[in-house]
Amino acid sequence: MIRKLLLIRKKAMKSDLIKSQGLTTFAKSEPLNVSPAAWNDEAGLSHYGFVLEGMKLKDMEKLNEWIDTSEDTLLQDMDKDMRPEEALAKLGLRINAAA
Amino acid sequence: MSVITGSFPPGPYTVTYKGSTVGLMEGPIRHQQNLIGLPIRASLYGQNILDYVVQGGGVFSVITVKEWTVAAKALMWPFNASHGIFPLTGTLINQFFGTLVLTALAGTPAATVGPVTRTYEICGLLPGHNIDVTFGPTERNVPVVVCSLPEQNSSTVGQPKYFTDT
Repeated sequence: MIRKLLLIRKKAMKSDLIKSQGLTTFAKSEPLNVSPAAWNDEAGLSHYGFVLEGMKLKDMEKLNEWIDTSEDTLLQDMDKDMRPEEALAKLGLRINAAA
Repeated sequence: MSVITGSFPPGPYTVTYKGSTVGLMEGPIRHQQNLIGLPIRASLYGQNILDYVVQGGGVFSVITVKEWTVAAKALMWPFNASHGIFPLTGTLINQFFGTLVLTALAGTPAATVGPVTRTYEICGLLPGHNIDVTFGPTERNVPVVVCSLPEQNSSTVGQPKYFTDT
């Protein structure tokens, strides 16, 4: 099963972005409020994160086309048992609980 | 009158190595990378280079640490807490390396323009670089050159990935 963490820079986020990219089916949980691990909570968010699950190869191809052309997005691998916090930590990021 | 604007990305970055902060630094962190390519020539065209065959490359960073923190010392010498002890001959260096993370200071143009973070997953002292440590009544600024080792890029087998930006 393909499982990924999609990160979108805060400045590029729009309310219908996930829907417009056809990812609603795969983004099963609430968006994550993400900050760099080195920032305190009051510094704000840098990204929004979405755990994407259940994609097939053709869905990945379409997603990669978008990711490859956008500077403000990133896909991070997630093993089936990996928590979002662990995937974020690998990138120097964390969930901002204060947001 | 209006200011001439551009996508200028200045701003300090903080650094952690193996999960701990390196502390204060001197000057900017310098990231360097290069691509290695084998030139293709043909006698019909003499020495004109017709194309290159990509052979990989290297990624390096230069960081000048000012403090004597655990992370700064590990950056200088990732092999042992005691800098006088070298790793066993024949060992592979990757086992001593760790993750280097650069984070833009919140509220700066660097944090807006990006990258907000740059993460080198497998990073450590570049073999051959002389660690130059001063002992005396002056600042102890130690320039450290580190290299990154590649991971497998998950989406393409055979493609190395040296760092990730967010």
